Amino acid sequence: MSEANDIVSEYKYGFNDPEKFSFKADKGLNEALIKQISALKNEPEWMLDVRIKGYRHFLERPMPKWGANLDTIDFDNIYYYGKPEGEQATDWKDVPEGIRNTFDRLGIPEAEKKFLAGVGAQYESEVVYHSLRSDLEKKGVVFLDMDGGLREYPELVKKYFCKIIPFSDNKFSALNTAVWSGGSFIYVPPGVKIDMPLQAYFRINAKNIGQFERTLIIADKGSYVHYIEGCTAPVYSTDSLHSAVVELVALEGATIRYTTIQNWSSNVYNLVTKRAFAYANSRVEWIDGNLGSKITMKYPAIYLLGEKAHGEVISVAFAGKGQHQDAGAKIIHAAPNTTSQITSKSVSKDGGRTTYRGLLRIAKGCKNVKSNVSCDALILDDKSASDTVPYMEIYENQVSVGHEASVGRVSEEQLFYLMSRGFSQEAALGMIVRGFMDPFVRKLPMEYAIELNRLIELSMEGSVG
Amino acid sequence: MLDNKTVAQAKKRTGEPQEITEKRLFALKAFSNIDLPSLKTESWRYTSLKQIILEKFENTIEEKAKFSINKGKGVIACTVKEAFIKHKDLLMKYLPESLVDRDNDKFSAMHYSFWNTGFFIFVPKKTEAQLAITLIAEKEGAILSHNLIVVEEDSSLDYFEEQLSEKGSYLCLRNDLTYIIIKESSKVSFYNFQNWEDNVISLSNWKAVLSKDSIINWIFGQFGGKLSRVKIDTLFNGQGSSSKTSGVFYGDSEQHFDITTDAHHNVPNTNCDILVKGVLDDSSSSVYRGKIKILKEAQQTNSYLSDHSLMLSGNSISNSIPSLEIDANDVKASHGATIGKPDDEELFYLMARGLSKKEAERLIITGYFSPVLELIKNLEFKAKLEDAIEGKKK
Repeated sequence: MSEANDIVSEYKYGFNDPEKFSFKADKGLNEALIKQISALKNEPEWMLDVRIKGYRHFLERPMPKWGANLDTIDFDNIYYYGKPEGEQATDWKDVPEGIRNTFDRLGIPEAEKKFLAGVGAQYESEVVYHSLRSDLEKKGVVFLDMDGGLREYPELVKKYFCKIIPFSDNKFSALNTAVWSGGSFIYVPPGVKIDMPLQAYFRINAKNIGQFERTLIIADKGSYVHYIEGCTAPVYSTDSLHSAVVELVALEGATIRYTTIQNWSSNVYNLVTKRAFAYANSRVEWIDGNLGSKITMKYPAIYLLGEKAHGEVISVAFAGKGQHQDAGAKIIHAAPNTTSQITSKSVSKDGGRTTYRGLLRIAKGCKNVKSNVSCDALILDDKSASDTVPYMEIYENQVSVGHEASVGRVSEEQLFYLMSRGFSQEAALGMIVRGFMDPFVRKLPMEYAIELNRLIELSMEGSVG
Repeated sequence: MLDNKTVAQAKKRTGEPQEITEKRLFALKAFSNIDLPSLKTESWRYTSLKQIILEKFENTIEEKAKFSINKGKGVIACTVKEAFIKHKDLLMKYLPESLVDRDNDKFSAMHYSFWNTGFFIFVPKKTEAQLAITLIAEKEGAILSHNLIVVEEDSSLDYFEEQLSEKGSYLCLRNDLTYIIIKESSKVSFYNFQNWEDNVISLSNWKAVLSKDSIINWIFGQFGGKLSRVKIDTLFNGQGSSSKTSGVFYGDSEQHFDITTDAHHNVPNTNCDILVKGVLDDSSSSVYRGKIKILKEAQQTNSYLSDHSLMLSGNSISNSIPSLEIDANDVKASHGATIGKPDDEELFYLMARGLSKKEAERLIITGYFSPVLELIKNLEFKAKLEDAIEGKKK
């Protein structure tokens, strides 16, 4: 318990509410439960079929032999589905008080008023609140929870669901397919550019619960959307599991920017599969920040399928005590004249470990591809560690590929310079780390950039001693 | 079948004591239990083993070896067999440590079970030595050469190795290990030039164990063979030890190169610098892996790695996996990699000056390799690499 308290003192989202479910499955997973979830959601037959296929594959598929250590996950000690009390609301007033207070404390309704075009809020397994600015609704923008998407746009969902990430992609995409609930469904019509971000917030509240949201974003020709997801959970002494699947489709000339600020409490396993299909002239950006969780394994992918598509992954990871951030990126060039850029920055301290794991593949015949990968890691003390494992598979010679990576500590010269200007060592270190993370922070809306800088500062407290 | 009988055959050939044979039998258990690697085995992910049918290589053979000691008083250079007769105590002092298999790999276990030939090189204290060795494969079968080089304190060794094969339509499988023990304040420059015909498939491992203030420099040129896999392990086990690697490879037709350079920083205050450059033409392919591993206690370490591939053909394939495993914070570790084609502007410029495309490419390739070649101090060896590079473009 004392260990959990240590963490609480640094983590301001670690509070929890009393559990109030309208339905909570028993611990553990079986086909009957999957049928029950599907029936509760009144799903079409094909979706139940896919869920069952996913479940069977999950059972057969061994645990990954690489990456972070997942031996301690106890799949039988997890609640796979929990529907909170109340129905989905479009007005915060209609959200049950306890849940509303939680999101108030997380600052969601306030952010919505100021700078968001739409908000979805998921609590345990279901989305409890959803809204979209009315002018966007009129333009034909669809922003629903995934269950709503399946009900209202079954054909569109059927067309893309599991098509970008097959259920058999990996053990955890299979698990998600079996028990998915909630997540976002977004469709942006041709030419529509959404000027403010859409945000989804994912909150785990109960102990030992698994959250398996499923997100599908389709940006039609020439459209633009920036989607932001945030996530937090209470601090418990037992573990929770978050395993999402996110599928993006950027049709010709579309741009999708997908920003994640992952700040799970340090008892959450965060095992997420994210992949985008990018067609001609489109642009996909994964802006991926990993600050929390016990273990994260996540490698956002972009398949560049049409000429002149551009893919970009900018990720930062911060690993403190007991944390392993095993993150990275995957870019597949499957068309000529495509370009990509991966920038990864990581910081480890207090015994934390960061890993960059990446794949860059250029298929035969994809001429004039340009790709650049850059990974930097800072290790702040002698208890912490960092790995870099990039794979480059190049099947075409008319290309230009560059990769560089470095690992080391904070430069003495920079520290000395700042301290000679009157900053304390702690303040100087904080400034250097924030500067180091800058390529990521710059891609965030200002409000988030400020919040992120604050989070980094908080994580840096007590670094000098 | 590769089994006890093959072990007995090898034992007879080397004339080793029972103590050494015991190590073979231990490895044989692993060999029998480990499956053949597939493309799903991480370390074989980019190297197809279709060409290696083990049953074809039950016949273990020896190669033609020529030694010449150019410099060094009291230096020993002979076959292991000869060393068991003439220098048994000295050989037995060092050989056992070179026979410990730490890899869980079929072909590694194959080497430790059935090695049937090899040489022993010994440089005593305070001696400057220079020696050259030519190894020529000449017929069908498997050569499993286990080589041991020991350099005692305050000495230096320039070692030149040339690996060739006789022309002919046979297939020779090599599975070699060269183990180098370098004592305090000594330095080894290990030069390897490999230009086999396309009748050799080779899986080899070079390992150097560094003591305090010692140095190993690896200089290699890999040009021949159907499939050439070289794994270089540098073990920094003594403070103040350091290593430089300068390597080139050049593939054409259907050749495949599989090159690994792993730096194991096990103690504080060590330095490593690796530069490898390759050219791939026709349907040749390569995989390069380079790991920098710094243990928690190995503070004050600097380690750099840089690998480059120049792809001349749209049918060539280049895979590169440089990696870092860093458990200490007061260190500097970095790697860089580039993969691409000859620069269009340079080609255009040279062709505008009247050179044919082929000539222009040849100039560009020479320029591309020159940062590595310039690091090579031995002019004779450097010329050998230059000739081989020239020979490739004919």
